[in-house]
Amino acid sequence: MTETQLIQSAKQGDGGAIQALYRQYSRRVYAVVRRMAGEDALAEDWAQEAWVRAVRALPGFRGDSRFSTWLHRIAVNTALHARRSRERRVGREAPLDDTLLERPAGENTLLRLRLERALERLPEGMRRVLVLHDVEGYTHEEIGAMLGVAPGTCKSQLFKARARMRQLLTSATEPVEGIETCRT
Amino acid sequence: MPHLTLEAIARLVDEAPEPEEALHLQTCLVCRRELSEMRLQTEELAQLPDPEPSPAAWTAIEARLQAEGLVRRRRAFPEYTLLRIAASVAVLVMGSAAGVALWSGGDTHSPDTPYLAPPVAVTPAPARAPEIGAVPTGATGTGSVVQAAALEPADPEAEPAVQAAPRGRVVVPAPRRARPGEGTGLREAETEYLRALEEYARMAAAEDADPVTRLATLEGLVRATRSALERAPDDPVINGYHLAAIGARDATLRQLARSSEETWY
Repeated sequence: MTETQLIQSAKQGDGGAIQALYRQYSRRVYAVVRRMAGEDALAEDWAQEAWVRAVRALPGFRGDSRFSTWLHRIAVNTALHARRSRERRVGREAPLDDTLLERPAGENTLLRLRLERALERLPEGMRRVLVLHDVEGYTHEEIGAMLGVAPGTCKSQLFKARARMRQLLTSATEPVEGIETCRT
Repeated sequence: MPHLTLEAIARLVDEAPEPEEALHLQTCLVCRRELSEMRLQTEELAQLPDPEPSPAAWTAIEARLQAEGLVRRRRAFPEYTLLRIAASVAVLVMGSAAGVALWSGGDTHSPDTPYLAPPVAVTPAPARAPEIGAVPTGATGTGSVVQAAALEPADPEAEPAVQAAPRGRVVVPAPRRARPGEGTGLREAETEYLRALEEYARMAAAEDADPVTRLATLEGLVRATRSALERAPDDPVINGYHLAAIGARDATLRQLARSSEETWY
């Protein structure tokens, strides 16, 4: 069955077709929300939410863009929305449990392992921009539209995020002058 | 000129340097190295492998989709369609057959004396257990032939009442008259397993009967037929249904085990 056929069946609520699409794209969806979340537990919640949203929105998918692009955007928007909700909730309730961030990554090479760890330790605003631009490949215009900021602001935040990453990779304790935490 | 800031170096990954920056880079090994490292970092970020979601993630998503009515639920066990039909027929046939066998024993039987089925020829065993409620074939008189169950009980100790012998054949012994005082208990046992059969038929007729409910109903049927067999171990009808119930239960268990791995789609 082609992807178009799968999508058509999934639009009709065909569970098998939905599962087939899940199998094909679950990794991609999980990857983007995982990196934006910075931790597994949140990422699983967000991925689940992204898939439910996608299935809910599927009847409106007209095929103007590739399904993967459409789905990816839903995943990103879900993560952004969930992050905002969580920030509001955490602000009202309790501080974040930092121990959640202490998880071993499973990447093979040392550099990738360190990159993943550094990503997790980035301030959320920086991580969001860095993941969307450097990992997921969105443009500053696209990210600006998603975050509701000007492309120039996005660009500036990206450079700060890269600099902080570099700092985290070389020395986790020494702050870098001129780098401020991005709170967008 | 002092070293370039990390932010400036981060910018130079994407953009051309200003003239003074370019000049500095030409002469400063430290900043050139930093820029090189920053480029490597950016390139590696773009190539990070996608992490795998938890294998259990789909189960949670599936539950959400179901709960929100976003998926059309596929019938979990399509192979049970025939079984449902068969079970319905069985209730009808078995109700009649059991009633006739018990209370219409012919000239020599009083209405209070149970009459058990006459000897029957046992057909070669099929490759799998008969479906519950398979319409008896080859019936003679008021007795019924239950299509012989090929399966011996998986656990002979757990199912001691089932009489099985050379594989592929189920020995159906000669009929006997109920022993004194046995009638009431047997009738109760008959009633019980017919009730269990009806319950199974009702469950099977329900479109959305889930596997767990089906399993519970089949367990009930196994228990009821086993109980009946304790009172009438030679009854071929009960024997057959007991075997079929075990077969269906085991099939459901296997299906559940597969479903837990593959999900219900």
